[in-house]
Parts: sequence; structure tokens; C-alpha cells
Amino acid sequence: MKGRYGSTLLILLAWAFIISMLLIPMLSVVFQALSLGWQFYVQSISTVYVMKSLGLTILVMVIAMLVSAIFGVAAAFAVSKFDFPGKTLIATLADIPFSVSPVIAGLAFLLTFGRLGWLGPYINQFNAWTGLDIRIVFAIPGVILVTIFMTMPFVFREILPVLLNQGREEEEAAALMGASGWRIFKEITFPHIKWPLLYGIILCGARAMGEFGAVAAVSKARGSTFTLPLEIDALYMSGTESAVVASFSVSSVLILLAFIMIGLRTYAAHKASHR
Amino acid sequence: MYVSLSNIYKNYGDFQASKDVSLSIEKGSLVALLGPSGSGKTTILRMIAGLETPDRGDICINGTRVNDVAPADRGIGFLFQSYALFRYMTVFDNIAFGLTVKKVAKEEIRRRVTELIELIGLSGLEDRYPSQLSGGQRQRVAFARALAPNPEVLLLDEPFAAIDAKVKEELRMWLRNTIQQIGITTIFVTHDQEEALEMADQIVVTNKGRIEQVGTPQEIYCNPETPFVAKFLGKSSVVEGYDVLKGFQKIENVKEALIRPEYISIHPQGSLHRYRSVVELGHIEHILFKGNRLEVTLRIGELVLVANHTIDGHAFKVGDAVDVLISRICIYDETDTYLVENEGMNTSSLFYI
Repeated sequence: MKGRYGSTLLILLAWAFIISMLLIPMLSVVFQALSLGWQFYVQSISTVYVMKSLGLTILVMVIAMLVSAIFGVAAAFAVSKFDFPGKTLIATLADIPFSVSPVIAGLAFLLTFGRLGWLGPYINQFNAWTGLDIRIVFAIPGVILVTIFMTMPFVFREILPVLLNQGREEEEAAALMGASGWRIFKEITFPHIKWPLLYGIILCGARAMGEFGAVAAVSKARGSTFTLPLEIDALYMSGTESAVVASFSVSSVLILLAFIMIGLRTYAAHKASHR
Repeated sequence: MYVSLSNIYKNYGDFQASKDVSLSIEKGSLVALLGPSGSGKTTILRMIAGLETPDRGDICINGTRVNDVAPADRGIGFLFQSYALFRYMTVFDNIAFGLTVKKVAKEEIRRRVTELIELIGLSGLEDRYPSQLSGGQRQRVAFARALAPNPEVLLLDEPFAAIDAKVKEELRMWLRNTIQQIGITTIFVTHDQEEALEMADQIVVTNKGRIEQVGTPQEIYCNPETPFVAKFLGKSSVVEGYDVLKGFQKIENVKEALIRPEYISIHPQGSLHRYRSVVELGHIEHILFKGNRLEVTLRIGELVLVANHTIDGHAFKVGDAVDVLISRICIYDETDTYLVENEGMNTSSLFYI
């Protein structure tokens, strides 16, 4: 009997936490967003700034997901199937973005690619030679780079345990029969990581979409290098009452995207556990 | 010699997995690599397969040095301990994989796979996935998959490790018969002496990266050449100070001996009238029921021995005084073993009867 009271209490606590910490804040955003009416809502999410930042957010997200997938699969495959010096180092270093504060990550890129950064002079030289005007920081490439940095480990972290758990013998067996590396990956390894890979990509996308700190450090131009979180921040900070409501409206777009991601994620997790 | 290894060395960091291993295997024979875990037997198998590269030494298959030949081109079939079946492929696709890789014609693949599925007695299960098969069935599929590309040599890594005792016995017989029927040169790794003794034509005993002895099961069991082999095979009692036992020739400065239970017989006290001069007086310390026999622990003076006794023989009790007759012991020092018969039991000693 004691156990039952205990579990009831725990369940109630969990619900209380979810309601107060997640549902109420989410709902308040939605209510705030609609407080000046449907028309204002539609208007405020269809401004040029919002459209631009939405486009950039999706672009950044897709690129980050691709890079994370390619890096994650390659690194996890190498670490789990081969022995080479520095193997554990890769696995450890891959966790850095998870433990470094986003602002610091952004500043690090600023210090690397900025005008006074280590690579700044080389970029200038390159531009002088080719007549191009390539800019990394305070431009879209910088936004993409910092987002990639922040989200790179997601796929790696998702599929590494699966590959380690699976062992090497299936691959060895296939190699003994003369199968090529690509064929082994495609026909033997890939079916094992298919769903965890999708799961990792979705997590990566969700994170890329919401990244604020790192992007804020390398992005200063509203309407061109701002992503949705930065646009929301700009609206909110402008201080007028209608702008604050508009910032909630744009936030609700981000929340909608997040819910889509959660839906996809749940589907991928379900698939991953049922194979 | 069909498969040969000469002066192979292999290290993993500080660990010496192979130390000067030389071995020759005849075409068509079934050879067991037998040894405790960590003795280097699996390393030998993996080097023959090409999954590991020796640091020094040559490996030849069918007269060709294969050290630099890719695993896939060595003409070997390999059965992994865990079978390593492709979990996302059906039984049919698993067996067909090696042939598909070699770009064999579709029709030919179908014919060969069907033939192999019949051989392993799993007709009708072609479309199952490995997870839907029993342990024994998986092993058979792995066996068929290894055989599909018609290898010259079949390598099996602990083929029965993952199978329960009852099925194991049947599978051993089946595997031995099937291998003989096909006539393929086969090398398998095992730590189970019973498995090696029962299945192999030749046994290679490994210990600490070296080969201790190579021979037929009879030779290995009855005439161990090294102390390790003598101790590793059979369930022997180690005695220090065998010289108190009557009837055995003494070897100078050597105190230790091994005694196999099958060379010890026990009789009710005073009932043994032959060989009186070499009968020892012992006391029963412990009796263990083993189903088909009794395992009796005896004390003779300072020595403790384990003997077998038949279930339907005289019913002994713990504490009984018994007549003990030891027919043969294996005296050993650091490097050599000496099999010594009980002289009191020789025909020349009939005089004692």
C-alpha cells in the first residue's frame, strides 16, 4: 500500500512539473500571440523580417542536419569498426559542443574567422586574389558554421552506442566473403542505424532551429543574418506593446516547428525500438 | 601440407598471443585448436583467415603464401562464435551473400542456396530472419553461409559456445558427419576438451601463445607430452609426493604426479586379492553423484585423489576404509612428463596373485 501512495505522489509530481514548467509557458505564448486578434497574428508572422529569418533558419537547419549526419555516420562507423590511434580522443572531443556554452562557441568562431582572428588575414588575401568578397562572421556562412558546431555531435551520439552494441562480426563476415566497404556499409551496417540516424538528425534539427547564443555572437544584421530566435529577441527588445505581441506570434511559429520535430522524433524512436 | 604456419609471432601490445607457432594441417582433415581462454587459439584461426596479420612468420594455404592475400581471396569459409548472421537479411539472403558478392548468376545462386538449405535441413525456413531461429538453426545457417562460396578451408571459432548442452551433442555429430561427407579441410577452435576429443582427427593443444602438442585425440589424451597437456585433459588429481605410492618407479628429484580417475579403482577393504602388494589403504572423504557415475574423493595418507565409481557397484559411504588400486600415474617436472605403469600389476608379477 505504501508503494502505491509513493507512486501516486511521484506521478502527481511529474504532472505538476510538466504542467507548470512546460504547458503553462507554452500556452501563455500562444495566448499572448493571439491577444491582438487573428489578423494581427497573421500580419506579424508574415513581415519581411520574419520571412527572411524563417528562410535562413530552415536553410541553417537543413545544412546542420546534413553535416551532423555525414560527420556522425562517418565518425561512429570509424570508431566502432576500426582500431586506430586517437580513437577515444575522437569520441571525447565530439562531446565538446555539448559542454561548451553557445556564446563561447560563437565567440570562438568570431576570434577564428573575424577580421582580427587567426584566419582573418588569409580570408582577406583570398578575397584580394580572387576579387570575391567572402565573409564568414557577421554573414550567413558564420551563422551556418556556429550552428554546425553546436549540433555536430547529435547523430554521432545517437548511433555510436548502436554500432558498438552490434559488434564487428557481421562486417567481418561480409568482408571475408569479399564484399566492398561501401556494400558492407549499405547492406550490413546501415539497416542497424537507419532509425537511430533519423532520430539523431531530428534532434539535431530541433537544436539547430532554436540555437540563439552562438548565432547571436556572429550575426548582427536583422533581415539578413538573423534566424528566428534572433528575430524574436529583436522584436521583444524593441519594447513597444505590439512588437512584444508580435514576438510571441513568431515564437508560436517556432513552437509549432518544435512540435512537428517532436512528432517526427517520437515516430523515429518508436521505429528504432521496434527493430 | 595443405595449411601451414611457420614460426608465427603475434603481439597485441605487451601481450604475446603467438610465440613461434608452427603447424601443418593435412588436406581433408578435421583439426581442433584446443586450449584455455587466452592461450592464442583464436588468434591462430583469425590469422589463417586474414582477420589478423602475424608480426612474423609465414602462412601458406595450398602451397601459396597468403600473408599478403586479402581475406576474401584466401578461399576460406569462416564461422564466427556468435555466427554473425546478417540480422536484416533472410536465411536465403544470408547464405546467398557470398555468391552475390562474387556476381554468380541468379539461377546458380538459387540452386546452390537451395542445395545448402537442404543439407542443413532447414527447407521451408528460407524467408525467416535470424532472430526467428533457434540457436542450433542459426549455427546451421552460419555453417551453410560459410560453405556457400565453396571454400577450400573451413574455419570455425568456438562453434558450439552459444548452444545449450542437449542440442550441442546432436549438432556435434551432425557437424562432424557433414564435414566428412563434404571432405573439406576444417579447423575449429574450442576450449572444451570433450568437443575436441569427440570431433577432431587431430588436436593442437595451445597454451600461452605456444603449441604444446599436436596429435590424434588418443595420443593427446593417453600420452601427454607436456605437464600442461597432462593437466589440461581429463579430470586429474595432482599429488605431491607420489613416491609414497607402491609399485611405481621413482624419478629422481621429481615429486609431482597426476593421476586420472579412470586409472584408480576402489574396492571394499580386504576384498581385493590380486596385486595385494601394491594395494593402498584409503578412506572415502566425499562422494559426489554425477548421474551416470559417482565421483569419490579418497585420502591415502597425505594424498587426496579423485576416483570414479560405477552407480551399480558396491555402495560406499563417506568414512569407509577401502582398497585402492592405481594402475598408472603421470609424473612430471617443469618440462617433461613420464607415464609410469604400476609394476606390481605387470604380468611378470603374476607371482603375487
